Parts: sequence; structure tokens; C-alpha cells
Amino acid sequence: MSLLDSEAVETYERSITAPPADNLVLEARNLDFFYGKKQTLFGVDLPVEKNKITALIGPSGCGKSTLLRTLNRIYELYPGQQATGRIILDGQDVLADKAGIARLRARDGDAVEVTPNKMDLATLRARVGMVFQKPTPFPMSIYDNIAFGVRLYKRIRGAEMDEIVERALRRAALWDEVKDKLKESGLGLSGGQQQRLCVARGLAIDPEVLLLDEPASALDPISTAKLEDTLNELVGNVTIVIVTHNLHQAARLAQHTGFMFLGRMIEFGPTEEFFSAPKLKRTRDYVTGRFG
Amino acid sequence: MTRMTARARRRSIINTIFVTACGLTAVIALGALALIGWSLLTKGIGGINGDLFTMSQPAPGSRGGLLNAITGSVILCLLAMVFAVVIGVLAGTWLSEYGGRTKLGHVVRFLNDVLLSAPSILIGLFVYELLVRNVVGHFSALAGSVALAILAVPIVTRTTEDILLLQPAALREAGMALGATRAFVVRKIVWRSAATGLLTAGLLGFARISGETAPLLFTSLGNQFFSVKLLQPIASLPTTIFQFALSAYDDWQRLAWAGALLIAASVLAINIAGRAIIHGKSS
Repeated sequence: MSLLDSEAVETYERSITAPPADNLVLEARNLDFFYGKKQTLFGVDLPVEKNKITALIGPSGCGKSTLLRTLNRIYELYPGQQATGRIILDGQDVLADKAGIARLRARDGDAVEVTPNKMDLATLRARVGMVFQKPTPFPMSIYDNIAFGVRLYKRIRGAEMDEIVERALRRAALWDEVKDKLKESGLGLSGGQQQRLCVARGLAIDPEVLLLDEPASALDPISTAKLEDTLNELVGNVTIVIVTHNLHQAARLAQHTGFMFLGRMIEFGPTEEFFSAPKLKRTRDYVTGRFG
Repeated sequence: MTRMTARARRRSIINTIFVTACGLTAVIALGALALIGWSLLTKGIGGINGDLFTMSQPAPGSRGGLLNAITGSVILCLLAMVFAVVIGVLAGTWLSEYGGRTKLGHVVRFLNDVLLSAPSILIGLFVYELLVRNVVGHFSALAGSVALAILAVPIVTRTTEDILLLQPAALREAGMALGATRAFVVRKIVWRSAATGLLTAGLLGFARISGETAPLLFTSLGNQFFSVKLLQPIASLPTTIFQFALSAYDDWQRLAWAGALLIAASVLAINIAGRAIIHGKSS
């Protein structure tokens, strides 16, 4: 973390090749993030194309997870953590509540033009779902794990709920493995199954964007492959942003890849070009394994 | 061929001394427990019979049991545990999930730890001043259970906080990431995930109060007759044991031993039952 100290801050070369603006569903612009007084994101830009997979890579502590955690404002659980900047979801700025605009004005001056937006956190999180590094099945049945989120928004029971649960489990490619034990505890599943259960739980409330924070880092290779298959199946229906330590995984899965370094988005572009012909030396060094 | 160096020999000797010391102290601790258990069992078992559970306490020299004291103890402890679990679990939850890191949180935790080791007789006097002399105006079962509850609350609070803090942060985040409120996540996910730990919190609290005598002497007083009225004095095993054990009558002393055995056995049984539930849930 000492690398993030203010003395080490310098301006880095950047290369951002964004997808066409019309295709963006979510976009972070000039985003700063603070853990208390310590700044960990510096003017980060992240364009996310609709119904595609966007991967974030970079060395440990570079701010990938922090960036992900600002997108659904889950960081707000912890007092002292603050984001300043713009995060635009379908034209609405999710950070533009009173305090957010005040921070933005303090940083960028009075000329800032932001439409105030009282986004309800529950609504935001229903639209932007999240899957964590370690599987987080709730201590309840497989069925109730899926139904939990749905019940937060709709009064549904019986056959209609059965249908939603089945659809979510099918989309997460878990249905065939659990259809005979829906009433059993979700804690009894294997790690890989638990992680796909969490994906299914997120999908059940029909989010526009699904954030995945190193979802395969606790899984064995076979479970990882299954999870990747699941994510590939979802391309075209859901927008996915995935943080990963595994460069191959990014190359296999993502249509767009962003490389972060010391709290900055250094390079962002279509995955193929990103890996075959990185624009910056630092990116090249990282993807060829020369550092990181 | 292996030859011990002087250093290795010294280590080996120190090791032997250390292991022996540990073993000896364990034997002393467990030995004391075994002696207590043995004397309880030999002296108490003779008083365990049908009358013990069906008749109230006798005059010296006549037939009788401890029905009034057993009933009183059950009422006092149950009521106290209802108070203690409700207050303790909520307070522990506040410390763990909401205010634990604030200034007020630190103050509350500190005071709770002080209360944890407060002499029980002081708690009895406090409730005596509060309920017996003022609000209710006389000795009562209610005052007794309040005194016991005050003794159990800090234990339940502390254990609840510790147990909830053990639940992974990712679990809370996962609930919040679905759009649930913090309170909803605590109730539906965190508590459920910590259910066995919360049960332990209750058991520890119960174990603390089940044999308490001092605070009851000032509050529920004791009652030689059978009573289930909350606003009247009520008998309890510890106070009856206290009274009977100090008496000069052989049959009363026999009942005191039987009562003591009863308390020990029920605490043991409840702990075993609790562990069985915990084990059953986790497997």
C-alpha cells in the first residue's frame, strides 16, 4: 500500500479505447476513492458495454476490487469510505446524491453539471448485482437462497416462485446438479456449486449488471471451467464486470479488458488487441509476466 | 549413533518439567471438580425420590420434597432468561453490527465487562432498592428474575457480540448486495448463521444464574409454600438449600443435598442438550 502514498503519485500514460458510447450501460468517469484519508483510486475511467463481459486485471492492491465495490456502492457499509466522481448507470448518476455532488463540486469546482439523483440503494443493488471472492451462500435451503432476493422486491410464492428459482438455477448452469435437493442447505454444496448458486441468486432478481470479484480464486480448475461456461452463456443477456487475477481467464472470457495499476486505469480496450498488441509498455510487461 | 548435546538435554528436561506441570494442574482442577461431583452424588442421591418432585418443603421431621423450590427456580430462571436473551442478544447485535466502533460502543462494552464481574449480592441489593422497596413494594418473583436477568445479560451480550463478529463480512455484504437493508440482513442471515452461537450465549447465561443465591435473598426471598404468583415471594432451590443446609435437622440437610444435586444435574443436562443441538446443526 505504501506505493499509493502521495509522494509516489505521478501521472501515468493512459490509453482508453472505449466501446461506442451508445452501447454503454455503465460508466465510471474520473472516479476517486478514499479509505478514510488514504486515496486508493485516482481519476479512474471505466466504460462498460451492455451485455458483454468486461474484465479488470492488475497487480494486487491496484484498486480493481475497490472500483468494483463503488459500482454498486457496497463500500458504503463501512464508514469512512468515500467515492468522488461519476458513475453513470443508464444515464443516471448513482453517486449524485447530495453528499456526492458536494464532494464533486469541492473537487472539480462549481461548474460541475450533475443532475441530482436520489438513487435508492436497494434499487441500485437490484440493478447491479454482485458475487464475491469466497462463495457466500446464506444459511438456508438452496431454494430459499435464490428466493431471498426475489422476496425483497416482489410478493411471490408457490408455482411462480418455483419458476423463478428454476430459471435462475438454469441460467447459472446449476439446475441439473441441485434440482433434486432444493430443500437442502446451500452450505452443503461444493465450493464451485456454491459460487454458481451465488451467481444464480444474483440473476434471480434480473440485474442489468453483475459484478464478480475474483469469483474463481477459491475454486479448483474444474469448478472454474464450469463457472466460466456459465458466464459465457450469459453474454448477450447480462452485462458482466469481472475482477480477476488470472490473465488467461480475462483473455478467455472478456470482450473488453482494463488494466489497473496503483489505483489508476492504465489501459482499457478490446480484449484481443489488449493481449496481442498492448498500447503501453507497462501493460505489455504485465501481460507478458515481466512484473506483477 | 545419536548423542544428545548439552543443549538438547536441557531442552528435554525443561520440556518434561513443563508437560508435568501442565498435567498436574489439570489433575488438580479436574480432581476438585470430581470431588465436588462425588460428594454431591453420594450425599444427594439418597434424597432423590418421588416425594422430592411432588411435595413441597416439609416441617422438620415430616414428609416432604422440594416441589415449591423446583417450580420457583424454573419460573425465576425462565423469566430471567427471557429478559436476558432479549436484551443481551439485541445489545450484542448493536455492539457487533452498529455502534461497536463508536465512542458510545466502547463505553457500553466497557460497562458491560464491568457488569460481567459485578458481585451478585450487589445486583441483589440494587434490585431490592429498585423493585422491592419501591415499585412493587415487597419481595416478589418478578424482582428475583430481574436480579438474575441483570446477572445474565452481560454474559449474553458479550457472547452474542463475539459470535456475530465471527460471521464473515462477505455474508453481510452479499445480503446488502441484493438490496436488503442492514437490519433485514442481520435478522435473516447473520442471526441464522450464528444460531448455534446464540444458543451458547443463552446457555452460558443460564449456567451463570442457575445456582445464584445471594441476589435472590433480597428479591424473591423464598417461600415455604407452593406459589407461582409473580408478585409474591417465591421459593427457589438455592435459597431453600441455603436455609436447609444451615439448619440443624438431618432431613432438611438431606433435602438440601438433593436440591444441590438437582441443580448440578440440570445445568449439566442443559449443557449437554445444548451441545447436542449445536452438534446436530453443524453436521
